[in-house]
Order: sequence, then C-alpha cells, then structure tokens
Amino acid sequence: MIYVKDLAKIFQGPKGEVRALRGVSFTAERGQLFTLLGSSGCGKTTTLRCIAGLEQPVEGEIVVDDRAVFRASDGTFIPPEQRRMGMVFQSYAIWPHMTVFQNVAYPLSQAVSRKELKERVGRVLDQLGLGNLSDRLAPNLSGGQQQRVALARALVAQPQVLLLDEPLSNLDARLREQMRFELKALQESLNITTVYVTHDQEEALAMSDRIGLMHDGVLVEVGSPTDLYLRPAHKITADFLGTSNFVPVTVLHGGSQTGDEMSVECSIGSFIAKRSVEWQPGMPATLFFRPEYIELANESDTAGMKLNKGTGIVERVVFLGNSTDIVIRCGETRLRVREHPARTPAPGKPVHFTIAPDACIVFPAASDDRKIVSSKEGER
Amino acid sequence: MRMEKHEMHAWAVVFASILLSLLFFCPGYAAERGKGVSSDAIAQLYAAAKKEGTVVVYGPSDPIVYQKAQEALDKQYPGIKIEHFESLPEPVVQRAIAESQAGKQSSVDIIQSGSLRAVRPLIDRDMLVVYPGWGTDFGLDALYAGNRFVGTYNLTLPICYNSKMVSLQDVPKRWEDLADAKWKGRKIIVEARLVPFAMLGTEIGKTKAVDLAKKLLAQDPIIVQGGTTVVNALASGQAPIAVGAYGYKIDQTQKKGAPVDWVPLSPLPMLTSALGVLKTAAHPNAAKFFAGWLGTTEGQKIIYEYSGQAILVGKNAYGPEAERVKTARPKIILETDQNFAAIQDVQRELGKLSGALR
Amino acid sequence: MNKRKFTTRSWAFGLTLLVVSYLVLVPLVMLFYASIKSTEDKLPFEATVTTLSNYALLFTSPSTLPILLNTLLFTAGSLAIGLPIAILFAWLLERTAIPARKWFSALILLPMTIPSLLSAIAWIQLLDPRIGLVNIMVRAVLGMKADTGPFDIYSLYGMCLVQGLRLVPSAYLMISASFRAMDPSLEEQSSMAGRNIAQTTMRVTLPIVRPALLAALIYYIIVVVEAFDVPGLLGFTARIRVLSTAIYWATHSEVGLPDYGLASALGMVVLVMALILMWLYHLLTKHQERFTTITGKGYRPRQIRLGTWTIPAVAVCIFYLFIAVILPFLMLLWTSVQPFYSVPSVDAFSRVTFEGYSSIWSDGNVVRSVWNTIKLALVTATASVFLSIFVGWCVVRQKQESGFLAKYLATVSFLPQSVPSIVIALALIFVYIRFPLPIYGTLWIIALAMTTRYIAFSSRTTTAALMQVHGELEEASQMSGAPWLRTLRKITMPLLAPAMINVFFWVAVHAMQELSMALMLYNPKTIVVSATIWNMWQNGKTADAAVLGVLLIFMSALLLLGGQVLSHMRGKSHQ
Repeated sequence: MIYVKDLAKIFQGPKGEVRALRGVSFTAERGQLFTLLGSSGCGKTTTLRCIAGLEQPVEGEIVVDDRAVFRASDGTFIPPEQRRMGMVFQSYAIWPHMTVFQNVAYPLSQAVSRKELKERVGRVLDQLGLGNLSDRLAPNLSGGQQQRVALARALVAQPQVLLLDEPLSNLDARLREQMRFELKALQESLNITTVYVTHDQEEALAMSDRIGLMHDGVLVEVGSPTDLYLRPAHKITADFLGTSNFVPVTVLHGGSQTGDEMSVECSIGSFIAKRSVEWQPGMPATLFFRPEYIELANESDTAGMKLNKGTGIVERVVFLGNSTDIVIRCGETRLRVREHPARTPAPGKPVHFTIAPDACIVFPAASDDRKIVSSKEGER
Repeated sequence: MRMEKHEMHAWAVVFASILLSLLFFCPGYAAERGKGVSSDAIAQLYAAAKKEGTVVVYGPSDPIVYQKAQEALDKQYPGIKIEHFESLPEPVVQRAIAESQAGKQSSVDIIQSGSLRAVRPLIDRDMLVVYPGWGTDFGLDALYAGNRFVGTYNLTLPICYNSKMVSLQDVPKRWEDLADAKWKGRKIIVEARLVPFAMLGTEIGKTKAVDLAKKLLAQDPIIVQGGTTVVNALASGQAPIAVGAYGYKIDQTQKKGAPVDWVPLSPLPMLTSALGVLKTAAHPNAAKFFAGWLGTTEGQKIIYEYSGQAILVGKNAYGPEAERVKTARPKIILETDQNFAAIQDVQRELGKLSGALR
Repeated sequence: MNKRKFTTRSWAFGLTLLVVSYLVLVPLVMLFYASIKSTEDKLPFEATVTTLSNYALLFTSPSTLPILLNTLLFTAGSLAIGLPIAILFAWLLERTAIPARKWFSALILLPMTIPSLLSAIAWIQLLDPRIGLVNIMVRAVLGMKADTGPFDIYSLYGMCLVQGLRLVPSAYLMISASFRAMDPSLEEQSSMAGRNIAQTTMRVTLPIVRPALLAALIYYIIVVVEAFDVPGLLGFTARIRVLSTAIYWATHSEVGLPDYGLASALGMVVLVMALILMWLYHLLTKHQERFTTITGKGYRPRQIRLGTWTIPAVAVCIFYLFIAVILPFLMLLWTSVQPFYSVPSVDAFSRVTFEGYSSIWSDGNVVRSVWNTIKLALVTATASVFLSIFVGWCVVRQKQESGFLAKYLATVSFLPQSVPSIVIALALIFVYIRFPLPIYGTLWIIALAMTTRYIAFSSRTTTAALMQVHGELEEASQMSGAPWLRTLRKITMPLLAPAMINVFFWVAVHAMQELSMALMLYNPKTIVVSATIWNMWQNGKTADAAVLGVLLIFMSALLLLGGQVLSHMRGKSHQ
C-alpha cells in the first residue's frame, strides 16, 4: 500500500518558481489500481515521479508498505534504485542497444544466477506474449510490443508497487482498448499495488479502483469511478469527467450541510438538487447534471410535476451508433442530452424532459482555482 | 646560431688533442691520457668531469654534430656522456630561470644559443659560470660577457639570391637598393623578425635602419619565419631575392644542387653563437670541460663538417665562408655582449612595424 | 535511510568539479596574474610591479582596432567556409544513402592527421603566386603571360580558405555523432507531410542537432581566434594581423624573454570572448529536452535516398576530398623525396631520392619520439574521454538540482581553449616545479597540459551527444534497481559510444601533433614527433621533416580508420 501525505514540489521555471504540487495526499490500498487523472500540467506525472524517487518533494511524506521512502521532516529519502518499484515510462525507455531479453533481464541480472535469470525472464516474456521476440533488438519492435517489453521489465523483479506513466497514450485506439483489459487483468492477477497516470478519462473510469483527480498541482478529489462520475464533489471533477450541463441558477433555499437538498430556480424551471461540498451561501450558483440523466418525456407525463422538469426545442441530433447526442435549446440555455436512438426526436420538435433530483448537484458558478478546498476534505 | 658554441668546443678539442698526442709519445706522462697545454688544470677538470660522467646540452644544433663529437671525445677523453637535446634557447632559458627561482638544481648544464641576445636574461640574472680557464687553459679566443660564453660559430645575414631567376649583376649590393622599384611585388623573401636591420641599426642609427625596413616592407615581400625557411623559399623559386637567410645555409643548400648564392655586401651583419654553463648545473665540471673542448680545433672541425657552421672572424676563423668574407672585406657588424642591448632596442621598433603592440 | 548528500553520484559530481576546476584554474590564474604584472625582461613570477599597463596598452594602441577587425573578418570567413562543408558532409554521410560512405567518412578526417606546419606549407606549394602548382597549371591551361597568379594564397581569402578547410575534419567529428543518433521518425513525419528532402532538413533535422551545431560554432570561433598557424604562415605576407599575431609578437620578441604580461592581457581578451560565447550558448540551449532524439522509441536511423542527386553528391565529395586531402598529401610526399623543395619538373624528378625514408630510422631521437608520441596520445585520449563523460553528464543531468554548478562546469570546461598554449605550459612549469607531484620533466606534464587544452573539445562533444539521450533511459535503469555507476556503465556509455570514439581519436590525433606546449615542456627523454619534425624543419632537413610527417599521417590514419570502423560497426548493430 502507498500512503502519500502533503506532498509539495517546487520547480525552477524560466520566470521563477513554479509550485508543481501542493498538499497532495492519498492512499492506494494494497492490490488497488489507483489512477491519477488530469489534464497536462496538473502534476500527476510529478506525483508519480515523487513516488518513484525520481523527484524529491520539498514537503510531505511517502510511505510504501510501512517503509518510509520519503519524509521531509527528518530528511529521509531512499533513492529510486532502492525503492523496489517497477515503472513503465511514457516513452517506454527501452534501451536501443540491447535485445528484448537483455532489456527485461536487466533488473535481475545482478541478483540471481544465470539459470534462474533465464527462467524468470522467459516466464515473464511468455506471460506478456513476447516469447518469440526474445532475441530481437529493441528498436525493431512495434509500439505495442515495446510497451509490453517495458511492462515485462517493470514486473520481472516482482516488485510490490507498479508505476505507470500514460502507458497507453502512444498506441492506436483499437490497441489501446485491448491493452486496457489486458493490463487490468494482469494487475488483478498479480494483485500488485499500482499507480496509474493518465489524461484519458475513459481509461481511468474503465480501469481504476479509485481515481484521484488532479488540477493545477492539487489533488481535487479522490473516489471510486462511480462516485466521481455521478456524485462529483467539485466542479472541476464534474467538468473533467464526461460531458456536463451547467445552468446558472438562483438559490431559494440552501440547506445547511453537504448533501442536503437545495431548491433553486432558473430559466428552465425550479429544481431540487443536492448541495455540493463547494457551495457556500451567498455565492452565485450553477446547476449540474449529466446528459444521460435528462429523460425525454411527453407533455402528459410531466404535467403533474412541479419541479425538475422543463421544455425546449431540439436543435441538433448527432448519431453516435449506440446512442444519440442531442442538443436542446431552452430559451437562452442549451442542454446536451444522451438518448437511445430509437427514442430520439427529430430536430425542430419541441420536447419535454425531467431530471431526477438525485442527478442534480449545485456548484458555485465560477470555481476560482486557488480557492479549491484542500484534498483532505475531498477525500471520501 | 649553433655554430658558435660548437666552434669553440671544436677548437678546444683540437688543442687538447694536439697536447694529448704529444703527451702520449712522451714517456713519463704516458700513464695519464688527456693532458692538454695547461695540463694540470685541464687534467684536474677532466678528472672531475669524468666523475660526474654526464653533460646535458640544450642547443639547436643538428644532433649529428653531438653524436660525432661524442665519438671524437671518446677517443681522447673517454668517460663523459654527452646528452644533447635539440631545442631553441628561449624555452630553455625560461625553464632555467624557473628552476633557479624554485631553488631547484638545473636540468640543463650547457645552454647553446644561435645568438647572444637570446641568452641575455641569464647574463642579467647572473646565472652563468665565469670560467677564465677557457682562455688561459684551453687557449680559446672567442669569449664573451666576461668569460661567461664560449663562441662556437658565426652566422652571416647577407642578401641572397636565386641564380636561376636573377643574375649576379642585378642583385642589390647595398641595403638601400632593396627599396628599388624593380623589387616590388612578391620579389623579395624576408624573415619576419628583420634581424639584419636590427643589427644595421647599431651602425647607421635606429631611425635610418627602421626607415630601410619600412621601405622593404612596402615592397610587398613574402614574409616567412625562420632563417631556414627563407633558404627553402628561395631555393624553390618563390622569389629571386632573400633577406634574413644565413650564409652557411645557402652554401649547404647550394651543395645539394639548389641555384642559390649570397652576396658579401657591406655592412655585413654577423650573429654570434654562444655556449654557456649554468651556475646551478648538475654537472658543472663536465660542462666546463666539454664547453672548452668544443672550442678547440678538433671540436670546430666536427662542427663544420656536420653542420656547415664555423667561426668566421678573428684568430680562429675557419672554412670557405670565412675565406669569402675575408676576401670581400665588408664592414662586419658582429653581435657581442657590448652591442646586443642596442640591437634589441632596434628590434623592438621593427616589431611594431610588423604588428607587435609593444 | 539515505541522506541525499553522499551518494556515488554526488561524489562523482564533486570530484569532477574539483578536477576540472583544478586543471583549468591553474592556467587561468596564471593568465590573470601575468596580465597584471609588468613583465618586460622578467618572467611573471619574478615580476614585482603590479600594473594595468598591459591593458592600458591594449586599449590605447592604434593597432588594436585594426587587429580586432581583421580577427573578426578572418574568423567569420574561415567559419563560413569550414562549417557549412562540415555540416554538409555530416548530413550526407550520416543521414543519406550515399555510396562509399565508409571511405568518405574516413578520408574526410585525414587532413587532421597532417601536422599543421606541413599542411600550411603544402598549401603554399599549391597556391603560391609564383610557384604554386595550381597556379602554374592554370596559367598553362589558360595561356596566361604573367609569371604570377591568378591565385594568391597570401590574402585574406587564402587565409580563410586554408583555415576553413583545416576546421572541417574536427567540426565534422563534433557534429556527425549527433546526426547519427537522430530519431528518424521525426524526419519521416516531415516527409509524410509532403516536404521534400531540403525542407525536411532545414525544418526538422537541423533544429534538432542545434546544440551540436552551436557547440561547434562557439568552439571554432575561439579556435580560430586563438590559432596562429595560418596567420603565421600566410598573414605576415598578406599584411593581415590578427589577435594571435599580436600574441605571437609578444611571445617571440627576439629580446630574450617573452612579454607574458602583454600576451596574457591579450589572452584575457580571448577569455572574455569565450565567456560571452558560453553565455550565449547557454541561452540558446536552455531547453535541452527539446533536443532529445535518442528515446526508447524506435531508434532506426534510416537513410534518405538521394535518387538523381546521388551523382552530384558523390562528385562533390570526391572534389572536396581531392582538394583538401589528396592534393596536400601529394605535395607532402613530393617534399619528402626532394633534397630541397622545388616545383615538380623534369629537373626536379631527376633529384628524387628516398634517402630520407631510410635515414630517419638511424636517428635515435626519431624512434624515441615515435614511442613517446604513441604513449602520450593514448594516455591523453583516454583521460580526455573519461573526463569528458563525467563533465558532460554533470552538465546535462544535474541542471535541475544544481543548475548553477552545472553551468559553472560547462563554462569552466570550455575556457582552456582560450588560453594561449604557452601560458598553459608556463603555468604548469611554475606549479609543478614546486608541487610535490613528481611530473615535472616527464611525459605526464605534457599529457596534463594537453588534457587541459582538450577538455574544451571533448566536453563539448560529449555534452551535445548526451543532450540527445532521453533522461528516461537512465531513469528506467534506476527504477530497475541499478545504482548510478551501473547506469553509467551499461546505459549511458554505450549510448554515448559514437561521441566517445570521436573524442578518443580526435584527442589522440591532436596530441600527436601538438607543438607549442611540447616545445616548452619536453626534455631529451620525452621528445615527441611534433617537436622532432619542427626541429628538422628548422635545421633545413625538409625532406626528413616531410618523411616524418608522412609517418605521422600513417599512424594517425590507422588510428582514425580503426575508429571509423568501430563506430560504424556499433551503428550497424543498433539497426
């Protein structure tokens, strides 16, 4: 298990200091696949490199399986070569002057006998489907093969921790999907604690046991894929994952705690929604709900309802194969709706819709990045 | 440059060998070889030299000269090994000064130089042995700077010409003639340091000498470094006239078949090659002995035979070049320790003409 | 629990800093010290008066401005000739499928093996207005009446030509390693976007090898500013005086002792130039990640097919090699069989003799100097390679953590190039005469002097090459459990192999030829070939000097060929 607390890291940029990480804390349980998700420059790779020991933070603590590998307070720092972790780099970092076998054998070649080396390396290579490529020179491999070599090399010494830095981003779409499953299956079968860095939210949602969303050097929110997707505590999370609808509203009645119900009003209508952790009384508010939770209905179905409903005109319909992406115009607002193709109305038609209160969340209207609540609160 | 020292030593050797052979045939002295005219002094010196066993000479002479000198020395005065190293005097002078300043024993015994000026720093710092014995015991004549230097050969700096490109008639016979319009345009080869003009300065005054040099430089000459390079350039036909080459070198190259010759014009500058012994030498007696020996006739003969250089003036003048100078009777400007300061003074001015800042 | 400070890596960094600082600062301190002493007729450590008069002279002399101007013109002209040729060849021979690559890449290095004295003489024999072979032939062919011209090597153009051509082999070495190691996918992408060879080269290839090109540029600016061979042999006649001419006069004043004060003040000027150039270089290569080309991803340098351009390209190569390599070498051969140099003619042919080839072996000095030279070359080359690897590694990889120290190291390792050779030699004499280390008077002091001088070239080359190796390749080794030294041995050094080989052979060849320092530092036991050749030349034994020169060339050529074979073999095995 990996326990990270209060990591801070500063870089010397061209224009002075850059705070790359601020107060990052999370725990990856044993055998879990923990994903650090975020856009470029959010600090996810820096965090990973801090865990690996390739960067040294200025504050904080990292403990792996009860062994402190870094602690700012007493100056503990275990260099990367002694941390016993496996890492796959974004560029794979396969050594071009060695064969596949030599690459994979490298972590072990000082420690074990020749015979054992051959066995173990052979086993890992087979496991990853590289058995017949053992003697090929590294540069003569395809992208996918190289990635597997990198993975084999990371795993051959049977580390307790696996670190992956955007391992799939250089593969084509089809291969990526396939590798996603393979990787996850491998990770589960080995039951190895894994920290996975990516900017691809689909990947994160599909593979992770838990996701840590990062933005601008701060860990915004940590939770299971479902939690983060359906019940984001922060607007950034809501915005980053999936598609979102944000509608400016006025608050009628606030409720006093997170998770309480709130009643709000907007041009579309009146809504009951959940209060997010970020919202403070007096702030301008915005209402959030996902496209797939907008249910299209007939006028008659919605006649009896007073709240959480609205009407609009279908502006545009895009056929996506297994679903349609619909844009509905309600007055000045545009809403995106995800609907089953069979139930899709034609463009120009008026529609009615409802949204369950559970699927609605109230956030502050403009999230000032610097006022993000620290991740301690965000942790669930 | 190298001639001077060797000449002196050669003379000393000749002297000593004459005495030696006399002794050899005289019973009563036969037991001890290597006795010269002032036999006691030289014998003592030789004994001390033999004990030291080695003498280290730094000088620009061709190594063959010292190889042959070793052979000759072994016949008369065995037991002294000559270690010659081929080097221009300047780096050796600096090393000697550095070593002396550090209080170290010198790695050099004898320093030979093609001109007196180059070793002036050693004179100024009183780093040379004063040994009147060269005169009184070895009977040498060409001694300089108060018995600090043994002269071994002289180098003339005449006007030289390529006989295939210009006839003797047309060759300039006076220094002023070099400024003639017909020599303009890559027709003269000049050694970069303009040493002949520096020496002329002691005769005709600094201003006139510098003026002559200026006029020469205005002739668009080919400028090279080193007297030998001048000779090579002349021999290969780069230009018909050359200034700054040494007479003996021209003679040597002529013997190899090159169409080169020189004119003993007046005044004729002449450098003095000198040999000196360092006070901090590791083998002082061997050094004194060898220096003296080289100045005798035997030593001189070897120097002339293997390098073509010889003393050209005074009692010990030797060789065809000396003859030629004697016949032509030009005014000779000889470099000595009396005038080398003045020569250097003009040299500085000339340097500025060529791009020196100071 | 490891405190960061005392890892092997930090020790290595600290040690490298110490060693390089020591090697460089000793001559630099001497340089500065001498420049503020009044040294007329005194050596710097004898002089007692501290003064700024040397600098005052520099700034007030009317000769200074013309000298600086000429230096600028000469440097710009030489670089304008030499660098483009070097870049063109590096590109042709490393990135295209030009035939006979191995031959060309070996031959292009040959001029480096000719001692500079003999090389410049060969050029005079080719282009002297009256007897230059090329001029004679052109006059005959064109039926010209004059007995001089049309080419006059004693001119600014002549000087730039000779110096420029002299730069090509070394510059090629410096740059070619970077070309060889490029990730071809970068160029492939450009081709796929529809750009032709020229556009791809200009917009993709050249920018990527920019650090190597910049390194070469600033290095050779200082090399040309400091070099005296060409200004000495051609500049006097051409009436072109440059900075090194002024230094020459200060150190060869025919008045007994060199004027070290003035020479050092001039040297300080060059030093300041070097510092400014280094600063510019740092500015321009700040973001080294942009230049990484050896990543873990597919390292298959594929070669551009030239198609219809093949024949012109080969013709250009052959033409250049003929002019720059074969002609001078032939002149040297000719000189070696002539009792005194004369233009080839029926007469001259009758004088051909091979006596020189047999007689040099009887000269004990020659044999000893050959052996000394080999030892010296190997020691200096090995020391330079290792030193430059550490310097390069520290400069490139320590940037984040110890940015200031890394920059300091990069600057300090470049500076020795700007110190006149004889100042380095004098500094070493001064120090080691007193210092307990017993190297004074041995080959080792010469090796030390040369290593000091060559740090600049070797560390430039390794640094540029290392910038192209992606840091993640070394980090992957760390993550695989390898301590720092193992990473260096098994990952970094193999990837740096082309650069290492280049450095080794460049240093070895230059060490074999280095003259000015050897002249100051050698003694009978430690004479080297360069000094022997020089002495022979001074003694008028032109044939002997030429023979020895030919011998030296063969020795160096063997070394070079070995190196080229080695590096091409490695290159192949990576494909």
